[in-house]
Amino acid sequence: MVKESKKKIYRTENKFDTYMTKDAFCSFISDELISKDGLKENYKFQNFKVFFGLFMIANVIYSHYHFIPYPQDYYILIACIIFYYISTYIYQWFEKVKEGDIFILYDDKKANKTFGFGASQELYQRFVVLRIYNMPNKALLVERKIDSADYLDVKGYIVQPKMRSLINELLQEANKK
Amino acid sequence: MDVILGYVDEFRHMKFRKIILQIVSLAIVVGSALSIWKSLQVVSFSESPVVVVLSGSMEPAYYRGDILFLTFLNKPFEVGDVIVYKIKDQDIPIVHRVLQIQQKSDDPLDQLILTKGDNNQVDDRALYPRKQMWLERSDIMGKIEGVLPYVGYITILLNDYPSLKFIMIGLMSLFVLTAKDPQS
Repeated sequence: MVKESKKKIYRTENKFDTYMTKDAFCSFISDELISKDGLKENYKFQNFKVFFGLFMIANVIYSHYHFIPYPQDYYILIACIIFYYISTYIYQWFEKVKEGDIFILYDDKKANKTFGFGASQELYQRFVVLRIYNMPNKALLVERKIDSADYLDVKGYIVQPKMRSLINELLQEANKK
Repeated sequence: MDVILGYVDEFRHMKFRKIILQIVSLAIVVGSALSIWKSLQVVSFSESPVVVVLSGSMEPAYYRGDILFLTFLNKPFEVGDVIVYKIKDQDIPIVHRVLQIQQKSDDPLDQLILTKGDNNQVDDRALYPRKQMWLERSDIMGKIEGVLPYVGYITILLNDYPSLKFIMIGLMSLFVLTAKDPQS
């Protein structure tokens, strides 16, 4: 007896919720990219965020559990707080500037390059802007503005064939440059 | 209930790496709250810069549920100051007014203090440990500098009903872990 794997659903429950819509698109695009031959997900950004985040958490835990009673630990607290604010600034800079709208990094083995696929959507707007960047310098290769309503059916499910052909089109355009 | 089950189901189907990222994000948020507490400790020079009034002994000045902001500067206390002190071997801080001060030595900070709640009939000697008639500086957590009325009632509710605390933390964690970050 063959066990059928449960098909993943790409759907926005509320077409007017920009976060849900964008999340559905990003989820579908990520899964499509990973399933293609020659493309592999690159975890560089995620790894940095996890390790840097753990570093920040370790600092916060140390500031609380260093077993030196207050007020003898006053200067240790000041050092921990300064480090916390600086590391938060770096983390925010990484998320907002370095990562920006990129939701997946992928390696193209044939071209031997790393690309970033980004998506942005204005709040309460139907249009989603899809971008492909050449990493690591984040040079914009392709930009396409789409109407999310064109790629969603009446019940909010992503029209997969149409979305798939759009992704292929964008990838071909990016590979030409 | 369906909404909560939906969030639980979504969490169960998340990729492992994304779960780790979301947990780290949640921990950073919790760490931010702790860092703000530590910043307040540094700025106020007090080990506990924020306390909640738990009883009505200081009415009408402060009511149960009021949040009080403390500082513990290198200045002597004066009669009439409202201070927060903690008795040895007891966790609960007490917010009362300074009734009398005696100078222990030439050092202006070396004071012996007697306190009383505005709404109490007698001074606090009955609350102090046996054989202790006065408070010393080491017993004191700080002096009241500001008040935020009623906001602390949430803390009182969470302490009186611990299950509420776990439900609130559990729900908040679930929502944060499954939050659809616009950047992701």
